[in-house]
Amino acid sequence: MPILSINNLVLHFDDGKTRAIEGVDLEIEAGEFVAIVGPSGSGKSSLLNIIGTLEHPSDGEIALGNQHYSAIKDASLFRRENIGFIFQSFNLIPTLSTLDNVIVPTVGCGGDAGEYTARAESLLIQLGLRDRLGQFPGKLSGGERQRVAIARALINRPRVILADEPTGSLDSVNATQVLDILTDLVKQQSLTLIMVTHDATVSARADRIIYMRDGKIEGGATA
Amino acid sequence: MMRVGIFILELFSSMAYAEPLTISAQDIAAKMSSAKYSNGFEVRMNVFVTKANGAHPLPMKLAVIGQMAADKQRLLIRGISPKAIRGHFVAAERIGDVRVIKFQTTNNSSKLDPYSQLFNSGLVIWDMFSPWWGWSTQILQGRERINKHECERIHSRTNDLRSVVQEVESCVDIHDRISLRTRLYDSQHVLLRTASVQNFMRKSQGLLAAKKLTIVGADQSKTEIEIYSGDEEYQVTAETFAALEHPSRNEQRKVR
Amino acid sequence: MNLMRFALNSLLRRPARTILTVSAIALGIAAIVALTSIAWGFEASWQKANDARGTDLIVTRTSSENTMPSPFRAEKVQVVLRTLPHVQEVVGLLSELLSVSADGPPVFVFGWLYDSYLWDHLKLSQGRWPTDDKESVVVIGALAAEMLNKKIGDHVEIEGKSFLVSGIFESNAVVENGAVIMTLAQAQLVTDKPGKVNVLNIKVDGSTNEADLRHIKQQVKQTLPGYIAITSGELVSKNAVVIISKAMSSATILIASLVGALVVFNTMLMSINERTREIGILLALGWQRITIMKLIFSEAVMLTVLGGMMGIFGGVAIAWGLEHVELMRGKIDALFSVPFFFAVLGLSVFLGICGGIYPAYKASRLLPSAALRHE
Repeated sequence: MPILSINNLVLHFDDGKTRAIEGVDLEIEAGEFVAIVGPSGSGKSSLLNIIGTLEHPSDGEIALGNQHYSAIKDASLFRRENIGFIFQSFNLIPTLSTLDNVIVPTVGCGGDAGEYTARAESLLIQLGLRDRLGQFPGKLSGGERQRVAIARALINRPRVILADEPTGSLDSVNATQVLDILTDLVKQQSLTLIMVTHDATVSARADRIIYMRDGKIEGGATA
Repeated sequence: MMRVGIFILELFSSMAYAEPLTISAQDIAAKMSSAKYSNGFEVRMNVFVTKANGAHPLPMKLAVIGQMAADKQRLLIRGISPKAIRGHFVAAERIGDVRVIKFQTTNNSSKLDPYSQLFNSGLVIWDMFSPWWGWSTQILQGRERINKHECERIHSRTNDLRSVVQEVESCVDIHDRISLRTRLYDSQHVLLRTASVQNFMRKSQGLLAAKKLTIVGADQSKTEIEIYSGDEEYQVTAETFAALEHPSRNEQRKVR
Repeated sequence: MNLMRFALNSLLRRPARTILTVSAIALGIAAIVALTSIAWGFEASWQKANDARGTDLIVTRTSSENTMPSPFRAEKVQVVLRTLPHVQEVVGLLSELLSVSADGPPVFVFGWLYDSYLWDHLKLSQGRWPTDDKESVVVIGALAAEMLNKKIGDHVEIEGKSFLVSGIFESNAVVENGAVIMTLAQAQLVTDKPGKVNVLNIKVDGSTNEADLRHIKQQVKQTLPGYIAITSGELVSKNAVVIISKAMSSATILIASLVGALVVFNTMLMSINERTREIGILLALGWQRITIMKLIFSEAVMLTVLGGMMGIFGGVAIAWGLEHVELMRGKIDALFSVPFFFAVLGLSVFLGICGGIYPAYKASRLLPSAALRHE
């Protein structure tokens, strides 16, 4: 059974004047690394946002495992338990330390603070940031910041990682490094990774590439 | 909250709807006259003078005893401080005209001009009797608002050509029977002085009296008077106004 | 990392705005603390003065809005009062606010019946009491001695008459400590109020209970029209200065609260507008809307608690400062209490909650996708 099922997904804005997604059907298997590519305005980020429950579709059905999105009562809770986000511009909080930035998604959800801290430390060490736990984002390189963001995305043990141009702000060396780390982690933890990217070298690493144009899936390719 | 609401309502009602006056100027003058009546009162006041050149003589404390009736009105003013006026008295009486004497002992008094200033302040003895409320010409001139009090402007004029003050313009709060502003003019309609009430106190009968008063003279000198103590039921005895009842030989000599 | 630390971090990220907001709240709270404590202190001091004297009831004229009760002839009223059940002693006094020095502010001058119980509670620290009621001497409170710079043997001029300072006393009540006391006969002479007092003090016998006191009050009302018998607490509460100072304190509480809530409202709203993208990220990371609301409320409450605490210190300092200002010395004695401080702090928290309601709601309603697109 696919982990993610999308049927006839539609997304319109401005009373139908802007048509971001026009009838997308898609199934993604658990543990798959899927890259979504396409020109600007093709609806890639909108699709990612809907999968991440950041946006409501205008029509269609989407389900993660057995959970139909239309039946979700608390989208935030659902996101926290199932989805991890990685953004192009990292979006770390500049006045929080590396460790605290990773713990941010756990704030306000109860649970053992000590356990979260230990988990965050472990993730950061895994990502090669042992010596950066107390540092602030301003003192980190681009690659290091994105690694912190990866750790943050993984802190709540999600089922799916959504990455929107995660290497877009990095140089080629850092981009490769980050991609290596991400794909390794995803494989280790049997996570599903859905990534939007312009970068062909990045998409080439995916198990499957989906091409989007004008809000529709045009085709795909498998590795 | 209620009070604020009522205040706002009163404010708007006074702006939107000015009640026509149902009382005449003569009646108001009569009310103002009778508002002063008292079997005996005593007030103590601080008097601060600012001369036209800006100089400030020493502040004074005065005690004023009064007895006011329709046919006879009397005042006894005593200097309390500074030393220069301590033990100095001015007694004044109005039966028709105003008669004023000054003395330190009752058997050695001398006449004083009723229009003279009390102890070199801006307070004129004649003014203290408000004789203009007994004048025959009283004219209403309209309504004004002074210090949040509505008042009626009344123009009083005398036929007595001997009077230094020929016209008086008052702005009277009819309800509380107090003149909020009084302007005195001579026969050429030159402004002699203006008395304005700055602060009020409520008498035991409920009417307002001036607690703080400022008199500005024609030369822009300023006299500020503030009441700090008083007794509305002062016991006037036979000795209180003895100096007025038994004119001294000095006074009698001058009269002859 | 928990919500409180996150909230604190958010505030510290914008130090200038945080400092300004906290200062504004502190000022408002300081004004509340200072004025309220002075109003209460003034009331308590007057009450203390009467209680210290051992007076159970006070009879005065039913006066209007003036500061001191109107004077009246004592003997007529005393005769009636002495016939009432449980009334043990009836003692008159005259109290006035008079200037005693050329450049100083007016002080309370009391005229107490010579050899009455009114004098018993005072502690003479220097000199002597008047020897009889004809002696032109005064005793002055320790605070008055300091304010007037007078010592034993000096003279004070009251209403043109010179009085020798024969003694300096101490009293529990600051109103008395800052006052000048002479015999009633001298006070009546110097103010030209022969035979008059403005207050009659009643002492009742030991068997009197509350119902008896009420009965005495009722009797006074019926047999002495124009007069009223009240406890010292009731007299104080009718005092125009007490009423005015309490009204000022109430008005200050209202205005300061309004301003405080508005300041918090404005600050939090501006903060949310600037953090739209950050809130979008938090929502994307799995923060629930209720957590966002809690964050905003936490920040608002932190601001107001800090402002409240600073305001309490500031208010105490202002009240202390005012107590020592030349014009006010001997007249005010600010009253503080721990429950009062907690109440003020509680008010601060309430202001924070009120000021944070709409901003918290607004923040929680942000659409994550729209917020993420925000610059």
